[in-house]
Amino acid sequence: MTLTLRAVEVELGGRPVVCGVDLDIGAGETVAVLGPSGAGKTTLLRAVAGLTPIAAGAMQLDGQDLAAVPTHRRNFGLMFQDHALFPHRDVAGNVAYGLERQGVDRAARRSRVGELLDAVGLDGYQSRRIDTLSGGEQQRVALARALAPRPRLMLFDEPFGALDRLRREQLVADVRALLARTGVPALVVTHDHDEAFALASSVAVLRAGRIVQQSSPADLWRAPADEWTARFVGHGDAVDGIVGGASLLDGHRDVATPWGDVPVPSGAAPGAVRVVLRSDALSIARPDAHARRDSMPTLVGTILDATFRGGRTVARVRLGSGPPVAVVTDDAVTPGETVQLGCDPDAVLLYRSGAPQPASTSLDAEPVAGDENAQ
Amino acid sequence: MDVDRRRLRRRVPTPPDLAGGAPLSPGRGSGAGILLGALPLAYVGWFLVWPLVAILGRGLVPRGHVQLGPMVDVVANAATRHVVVFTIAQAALSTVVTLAVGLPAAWALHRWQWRGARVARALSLVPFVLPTIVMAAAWEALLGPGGPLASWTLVPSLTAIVLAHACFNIAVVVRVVGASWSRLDPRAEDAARALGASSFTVLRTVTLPALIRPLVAAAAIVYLFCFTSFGVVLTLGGISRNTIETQIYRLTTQQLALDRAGALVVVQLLAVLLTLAVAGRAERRGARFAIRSAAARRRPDGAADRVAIAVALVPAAALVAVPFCTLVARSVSASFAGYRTLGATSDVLGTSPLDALRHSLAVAAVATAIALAVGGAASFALAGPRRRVPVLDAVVLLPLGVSAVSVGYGFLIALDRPIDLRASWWIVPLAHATVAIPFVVRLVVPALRGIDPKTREAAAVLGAPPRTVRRTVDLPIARRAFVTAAGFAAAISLGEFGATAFIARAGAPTAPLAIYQLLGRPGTANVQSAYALAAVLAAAVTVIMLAGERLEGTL
Repeated sequence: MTLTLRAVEVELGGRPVVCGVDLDIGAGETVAVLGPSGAGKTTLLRAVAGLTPIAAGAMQLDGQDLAAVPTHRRNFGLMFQDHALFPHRDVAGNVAYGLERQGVDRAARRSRVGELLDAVGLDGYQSRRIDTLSGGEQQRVALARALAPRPRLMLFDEPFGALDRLRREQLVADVRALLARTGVPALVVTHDHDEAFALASSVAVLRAGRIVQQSSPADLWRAPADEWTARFVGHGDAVDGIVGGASLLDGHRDVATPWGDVPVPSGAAPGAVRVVLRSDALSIARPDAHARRDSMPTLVGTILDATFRGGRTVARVRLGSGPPVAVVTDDAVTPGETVQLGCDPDAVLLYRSGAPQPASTSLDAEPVAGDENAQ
Repeated sequence: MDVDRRRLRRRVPTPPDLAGGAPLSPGRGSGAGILLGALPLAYVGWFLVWPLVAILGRGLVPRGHVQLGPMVDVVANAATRHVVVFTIAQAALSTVVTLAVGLPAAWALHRWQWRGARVARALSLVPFVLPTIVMAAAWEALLGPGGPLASWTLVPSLTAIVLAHACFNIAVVVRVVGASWSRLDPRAEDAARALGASSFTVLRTVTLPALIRPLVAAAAIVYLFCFTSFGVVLTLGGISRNTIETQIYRLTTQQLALDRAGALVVVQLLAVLLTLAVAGRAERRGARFAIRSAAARRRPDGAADRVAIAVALVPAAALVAVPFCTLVARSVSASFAGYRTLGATSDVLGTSPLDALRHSLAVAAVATAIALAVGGAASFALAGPRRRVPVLDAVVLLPLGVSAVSVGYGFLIALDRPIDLRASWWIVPLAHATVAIPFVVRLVVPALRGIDPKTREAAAVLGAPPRTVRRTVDLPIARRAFVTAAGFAAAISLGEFGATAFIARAGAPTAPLAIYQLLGRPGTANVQSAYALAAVLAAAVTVIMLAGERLEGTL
């Protein structure tokens, strides 16, 4: 099973919401489409499901053109963020719905329902009413319901957004295992990069209806395609900088920024650039650990505040006249304290200067695509 | 007054709201989908638009060319002016009295949670579903000859009309205003009180402004009910007190002045539309206050609260309970003479009261089936994609603006073509269904719209074509609304009087018609039969409504 999207365009109310999207999902592969709300993710997913018609482009599953296939004949599984379970049916009735549509007989339905409920950890819930289930249980029923008719492709719309972190991590793991076991290709759309990174082997970043980058989660994080994507996956603010000439002493180059002179990879071309410090770029250099790379220029900043997160301390540091930067450290820091910072040149991201990037300050407002949920 | 059941308590969302949610059937419009829109269009076209066109023809084009003469004559006529003024005056007076009695009752029933309040709230809705002719009979029993208050000689009188109108429109005020009142956030009032406002000032400056929308809505509904009142005015008003509705009836059936009656129908239609427009404007001007999703009712605290609640409830309770208790008491007087003769053929009716009741039940069953089929189809089409049947919304709700008497009159003059239905048994259930359809639509459409579109999409993704989605998702989820709609349609049909008065065949009256005819004839036996039949009909309607609720509860 291979899903192929070529130059797909979708319009809502006459406005283009998805513009020329190319996407491939191979057998057993899970691809996440990651984007801020309003980027057109849900619209793209609905188009794949056949719930929204495409305005242009081609959509094929194993070479079969999907445009002429109505939703109910596609045999896809779809999981909504808010479950959309059938309130008038019990758990078994929900899971059996797709099987009934396929004309599966009662006995076979019952055993398949049991099998699926077992797989999602809800065995014995068959006759429970939907409104007696917790959010996580409902999500598991929705997953079982979608998988029961052995779909050719699974679609997830913000699948775990409504769950608390603990349940979510558990469910993400379960879904990964289930998808791997069944070999069903899957498309996940989400605004949450943790969710995307946890589920998918490949992540496509969607911005204002266009895919700006598709790569593995690690590559996406390590080398975002542009300033906006860098900010979207969680790196810092961008500033203007000028890359200078190579040092006569050791050949390293610096970029002059409002933060001060920051080292850059040796291949960087001189000239005006936009500079983003990846979130692992800076480290606090204590005087005793300082001697390791004495050629490295040292930045001096002032701690603004510090937050304890995930076992480490994230400090916001005032550096020169630039915007505050985040530094992760294992040491205790005090607001107001002056610290020296080391900088890893390979974690300094440089982007072409000139093109205005207003979106870098407004991730959640995409005037072009508008509200994708207003169908 | 039978018109009133047709107007629902809630305002139907305007067409732009239809855009909300996903189409019932994704993708192209299916054949079934087009049929869903075409069936109600054809029905309303045949059984409402065509009769209306015929009426307009009678009123404006009486002799093959447009003549404003009859129209102008009718409007300029002093007698007509008198009728119009009386119609407006009695409707306005009835509305004021209804609000004066109904608002305290709404406050007592919906602002407070006391023992028995739940039962009282349910009971307060009963008068609303009772046939208007039963209401008229109950007041006749109380105020008319032989009644406990006969010495007041209030039948016929304007007072009797106003009291009867107030009696069952209290339910509208309690329901419409009470629903909002119970959900009003009490903290706004608490804040005003903390700022130094007295109880009365709080009511004047916070509570009433917050309730302006439901107040206007309730007042508009009550006004329209009373404006188009028929059975009550005919029974309690005597010969000299005529509203536009009764005047149309008298002109048609007694004076055979069809041209003038047609012109009056046009006047009536315009007046109703004007009222709706004015009410709509006033309602939109009202502020939307923060309300809670759930009722926030307080428990009475101390004797003062309990006394206040009792004082607020007494007028409404008395207004409803006294006439009905009198009706029941008089129906069983003379050792159940009225009931014992129900099976006997009456000279007045040409049949037995029991046969009239059987006729009504059969008509109600057929009318309910038609109304559910046509109204259900219209609801599916309306809750679906917006542009499939553009005029459907307006057309299906059209009967709301047309009085029952106009429907009956239109049936009488128009349904000889293409098939002559005027002598057919079917004409009565068809008229009742026409009256009931907008009601069904108003109950079912919100239920269908309330279904999360994603539920339908989930079904489609799981392999259900649009037809199957309707059968396996929409129908089961909206079942409660369908059951309620069936109960209301049956109640409307059992109580319908205005249209039926025109079209029922002689010798085959419906129960309300039989009650009216028996009441209108002298003789203790006739009157006792009328009261007995009224009591039985009231019981039948109540049982059907409760059965609908019960059925829903157990399913």
